[in-house]
Amino acid sequence: MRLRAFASYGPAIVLAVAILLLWEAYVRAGNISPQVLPAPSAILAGLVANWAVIYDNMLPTLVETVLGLLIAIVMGVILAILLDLSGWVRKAIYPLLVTSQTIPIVTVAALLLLWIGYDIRSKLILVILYCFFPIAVACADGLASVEPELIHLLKSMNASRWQILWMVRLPAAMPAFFSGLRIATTYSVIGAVFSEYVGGEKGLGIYLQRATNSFAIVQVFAAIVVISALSILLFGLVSLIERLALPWYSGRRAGA
Amino acid sequence: MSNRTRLWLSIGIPVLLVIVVVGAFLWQQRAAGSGTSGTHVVVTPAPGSECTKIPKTAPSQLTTMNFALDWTPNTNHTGIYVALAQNWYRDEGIDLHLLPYSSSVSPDVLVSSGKADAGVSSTEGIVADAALGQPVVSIAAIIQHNTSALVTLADSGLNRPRDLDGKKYGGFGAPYEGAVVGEIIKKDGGKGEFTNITLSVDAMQALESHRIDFVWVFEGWEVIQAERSGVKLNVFPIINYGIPDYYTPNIITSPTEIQQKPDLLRRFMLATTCGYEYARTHARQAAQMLIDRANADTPGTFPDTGLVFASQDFLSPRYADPGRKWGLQDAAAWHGYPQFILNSGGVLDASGKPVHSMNFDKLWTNQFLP
Repeated sequence: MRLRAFASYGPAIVLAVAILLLWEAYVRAGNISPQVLPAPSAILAGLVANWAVIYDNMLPTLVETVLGLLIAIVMGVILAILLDLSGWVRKAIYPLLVTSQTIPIVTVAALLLLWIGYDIRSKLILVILYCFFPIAVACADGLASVEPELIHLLKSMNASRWQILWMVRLPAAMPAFFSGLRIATTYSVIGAVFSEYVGGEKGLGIYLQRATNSFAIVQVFAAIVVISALSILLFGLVSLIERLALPWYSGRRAGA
Repeated sequence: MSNRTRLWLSIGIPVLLVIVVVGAFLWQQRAAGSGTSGTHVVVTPAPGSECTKIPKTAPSQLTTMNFALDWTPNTNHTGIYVALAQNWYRDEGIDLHLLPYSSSVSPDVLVSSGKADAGVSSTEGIVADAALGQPVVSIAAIIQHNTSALVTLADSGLNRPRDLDGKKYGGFGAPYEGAVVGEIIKKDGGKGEFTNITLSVDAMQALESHRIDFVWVFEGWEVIQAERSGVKLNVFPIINYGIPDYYTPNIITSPTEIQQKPDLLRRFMLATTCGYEYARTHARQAAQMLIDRANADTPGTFPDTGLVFASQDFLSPRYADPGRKWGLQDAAAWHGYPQFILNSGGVLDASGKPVHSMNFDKLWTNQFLP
């Protein structure tokens, strides 16, 4: 079964390798200046040669990502429970929540720099802004989608509101919560990189900016590779935890 | 796997991840804090110069000062990095913090809002700030003459500015750009008509891949990089084609700061001036201090140190003309070009109306130079 799960990635791997080979051939054939688009082999060599410096810049980004995502999860779940408490709260908060996502984040980033400064707090806030919306909305929808029969059953057994939440609604909301979390995870690394790009001392965003301004295109691409790899790793980790936490659900999904 | 194991694993894996990441980060912070920065060259200022007035030891009380950079560290900033490396700010009683470049908050905004005491801007920026009612004041010219130029690829057949009529210009979205570029083409006998495409990507890349025909860049950075990578360019320095000479970049501060902390600014400018004076005569050593210091703050700041040395060789003799003190500004430069961009209609006030006159002499002062 494991093998089959792994083999299901086969087409993706074949396609990725094919694209990389085409890319390499295209650049080697001299169709495009390596100062505009370097070949994959050159990017890999650049990644290896600059690994120590990239690693130095990767840690701050990773800390911002992981802490920001964690706070976003806590805030998202609490907000989802609040939204679910009463129809009034939902009607009051939900439209504002959606509106908050329509504000161009660049403007918010500039204000955060002026209000808070260049330290990790302003970066965490940006990551949280990116991540908590999908978690809160998915989780709120999950809480609302519980089968009414189950709630009636628990009510007939005289369960309290919190008992219902803890025993039926939260577990039932888990699949939706993980869907939201997976979307948030893919945003989180980009959110952290963007927050550094706006202004900071260290991090992959700063590395990217400085490499660009020094015309070191190979290193720009090396940083992009690292950013993608981090996003994919975090995504994989979330999927793994989902599998562990909801074996019944992921089993059904894989079978479908 | 039992349900209990599953539960513990689902909680344990994220907790472990956080511990590992935060742990590695803190360990790195500690390692960075205890590390000493390479070889340290101690510079003695030339006898007789103002720089000998800098005390040899720092006072016990340091004043914190924030300085906003206009771009990622580069050879325009060398003097500041030299003064940092030589502890001249500290000896003058200043604990200088460099605020990193931000693409969304300009040094002008940081300075006029009081978040930074001083920063780097340009004549265009200062004129636009005054029009918008967020005044800043230039207290030094970092480079004495304008070093910007329009460039085309050597094999493009565009060999002089009048050939640029009807061509594609890769701009950076400033309101005065069109006026300046049009004027250059007209002065060379053209009509001054061209397509202006605002790029957020590296304009030189767009030029090299033939997506645009010409760009406006700094000779001390982009043109030198192009030479180093073997790209042949035609270079038209703007002041050779009828554009009044002007200062860019400048060191700026706010009128409030001038009123409240004139002594701090004077001490700051003494150390800064000594940094640039040193860089004028010691290009190689000064560039090395810039590289070491910037890389210590942020590893990977200069992927290509050769570019920094080449750029410094270009810029060191241009910080000021021979025999002239660094940083001095003339009234002529503060009237010619600012009036030219006001006339072009490219300067707008807060309500979006063109500004046609202002008091230029409020925009600059030499009073803080030693």
